[in-house]
Amino acid sequence: MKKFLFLVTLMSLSVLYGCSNATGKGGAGSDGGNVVVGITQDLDSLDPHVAVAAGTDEILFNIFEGLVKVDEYGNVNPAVAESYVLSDDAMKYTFTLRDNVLFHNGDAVKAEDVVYSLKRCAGFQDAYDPSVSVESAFSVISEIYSPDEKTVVIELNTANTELIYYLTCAIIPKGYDKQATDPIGTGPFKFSSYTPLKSFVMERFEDYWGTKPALQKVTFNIYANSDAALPELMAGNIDIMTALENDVAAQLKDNYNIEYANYNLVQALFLNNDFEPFKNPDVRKALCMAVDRDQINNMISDGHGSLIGSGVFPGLSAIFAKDLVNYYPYDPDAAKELLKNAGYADGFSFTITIPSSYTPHVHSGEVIVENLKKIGVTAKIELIEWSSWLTDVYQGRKYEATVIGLDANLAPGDILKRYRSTAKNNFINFTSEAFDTAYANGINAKTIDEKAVYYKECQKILTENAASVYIQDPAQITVVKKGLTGYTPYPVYVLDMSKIHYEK
Amino acid sequence: MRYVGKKLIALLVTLAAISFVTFFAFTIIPGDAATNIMGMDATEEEIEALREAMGLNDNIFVRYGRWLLGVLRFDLGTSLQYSIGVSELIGGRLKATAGLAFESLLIILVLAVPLGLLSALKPNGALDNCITTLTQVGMAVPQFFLGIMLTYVLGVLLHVFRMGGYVSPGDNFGAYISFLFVPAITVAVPKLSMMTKYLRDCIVAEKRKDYVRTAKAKGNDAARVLSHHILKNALIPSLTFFAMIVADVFAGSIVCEQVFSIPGVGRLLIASISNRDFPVVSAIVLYTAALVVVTNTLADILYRAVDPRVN
Repeated sequence: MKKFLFLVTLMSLSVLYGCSNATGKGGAGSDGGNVVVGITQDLDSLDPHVAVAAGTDEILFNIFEGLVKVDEYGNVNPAVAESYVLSDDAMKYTFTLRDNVLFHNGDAVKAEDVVYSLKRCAGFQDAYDPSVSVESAFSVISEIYSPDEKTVVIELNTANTELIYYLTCAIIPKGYDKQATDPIGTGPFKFSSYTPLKSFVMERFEDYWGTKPALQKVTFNIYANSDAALPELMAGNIDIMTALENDVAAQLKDNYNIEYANYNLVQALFLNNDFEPFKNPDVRKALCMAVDRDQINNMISDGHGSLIGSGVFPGLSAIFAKDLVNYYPYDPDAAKELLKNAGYADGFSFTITIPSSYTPHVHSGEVIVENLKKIGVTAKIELIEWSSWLTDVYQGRKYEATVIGLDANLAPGDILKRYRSTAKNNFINFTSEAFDTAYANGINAKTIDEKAVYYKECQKILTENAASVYIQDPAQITVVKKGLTGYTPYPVYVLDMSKIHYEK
Repeated sequence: MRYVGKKLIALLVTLAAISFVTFFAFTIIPGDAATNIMGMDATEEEIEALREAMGLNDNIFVRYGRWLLGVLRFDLGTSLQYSIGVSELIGGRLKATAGLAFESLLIILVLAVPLGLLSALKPNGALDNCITTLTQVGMAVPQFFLGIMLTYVLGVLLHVFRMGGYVSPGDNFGAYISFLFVPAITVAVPKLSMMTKYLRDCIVAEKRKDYVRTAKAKGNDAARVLSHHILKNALIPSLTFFAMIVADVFAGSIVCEQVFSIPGVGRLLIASISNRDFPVVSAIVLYTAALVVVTNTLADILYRAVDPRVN
């Protein structure tokens, strides 16, 4: 027994000693240094063509590049390609590859790698891989080939000026089959290690063709939720953390700068237009007027979100219809009147199905339930798992209403394409011939100004028909430790670590 | 020996039944790995193609048979979500869970017996009341609260502990042991409290029995009666109780792993269920079930060894 106690004392002493050594880390100096980033969502795959979660794209942006790459203004600039030409009939893209672009394994990027990568993304038979999430926008492609070592040609079966935005599709080495466990790309950082549900580590790629990042090593630590990360943030062990709740961020303002950006999502109370009361446009309009969007914005992002009135988020500035934001002002009395005229003077009940893992949407749902009580409508929240939401709500369309945020590619028409009557992912069952025509005109238009006219028309149709209750583009709250700069918000899901550096 | 053989057969049957039920339950809940991997904007055809490639379309008995054959050959398959071998995936995380389990068991073992004894020395005495109150508190306090309080005091105020500072034992064994000590306290406190209380009650109950009076009458002093007679008998029922605790801590504490960001088995299980990552879930359920069944069987066998009355 005595021996035992002695051992225990010894152990606790070593514990105290060991712990005192474990505090403080990170680097200094403008060139180099390490950074720890906290994230709350595990990566869904390391293979860029398989990954579908926005949280994964955000990280893999640092590892992979396409022929073109997105910048913080929403433009696509040449990356693995040096330049490209779109034929006048918008049926043929010709890319000239950049010299000296190396993969992280040291091999030079060849035209065949590019052709292979694009074919894999497009689901072409000779590179078909069922786990790859095939980009549906690539269905306009008829052929991908390389006439010579420096050139890659993409031919289309129909004119399309928006395909370029999807060509951010990652270029990976041809036939490399360890992408899911040991990914190789051409980006400014190279993959170092990944432990599921624990961490993802990447290091500066010394042979990067462009401007090399300042940071030497970036570790993404995966937490179960922001509560689990909070003590680590308070102890200063995390340098950057995104997607925080406002009250959490507020506690950290002594040591961190709080950055507000948009998520680039269309957050809405989506209504199943085939569900009985919602078949009637007046009922949907009533709901639009009964939901207090400001209250939701204040509730989930302290008023830093941007209100929307239609199916496009403000980050898509070229086509965003600003005039629709306040088309339905908050007016419960008018809403009640509309309901009465629609034959629902006594209100009705419905269920809002929300994926339980998305706390902001759940909180928004709670506000909506309270708002609707004022017009006599009883809404009930049902929380379900993400997988069930995908199957039942999104694919099965077996739901009445849901709160979710939809993201999109930067291609102007991407966020709107789901509302086409025939779209497979038209999960709200919205149908409008006028919309279909306007959308088709938008896709076919050559210049962005022309497109804007048609896409604004699309948004107007959505708003006038009250397709759903559009709420806001929620604020993405990020804390960055004082002393670090270069955090740059993008109009898409990107956490660009190559711009981050320590202040001198 | 026949007893052991019988127990072993019961063990295998239980495991087979549990694994089948897990399999079956997974076919009932909505969503599968294919829908999950393909995400929001996949077409039905694409999901179907992936399902086919993953073998999810086969009949449940075919899939179960395939899985069982693999298990018998010590091949647990590959994670659908992480594309990593299941044994490798779980093996890495078991290091964390096992370390945590060993340390908390050590804390329980070292403290429960002396505390139980002290408490039972004078039932309802000041010391007993004090320890009993503490054990009540220890049992009642939620684990996440205890964990958060400990990290707040030790990590944020005193800076002697780094909450997310888990290191793999291969990298730095000392740091691994020392980091897990605080989570181990969190895991140990409620179980230590239960164990202490249970032991105390057992000792108090034994003290009243006739053989104790006999032993005293034979001229043994109180300490000897306690250590040679009462404790020996009181420890026997505690054995089963301890076996339950062993199984429990080795199964991984989901709450504790979340609070301290420990990459253990519990968090993997939760994530794998929501990812519909069937091979991983099956393997973890099998592991947990095996743990419970094996420790209970061992406890039963031990029971027979220490207590000749059980037959």
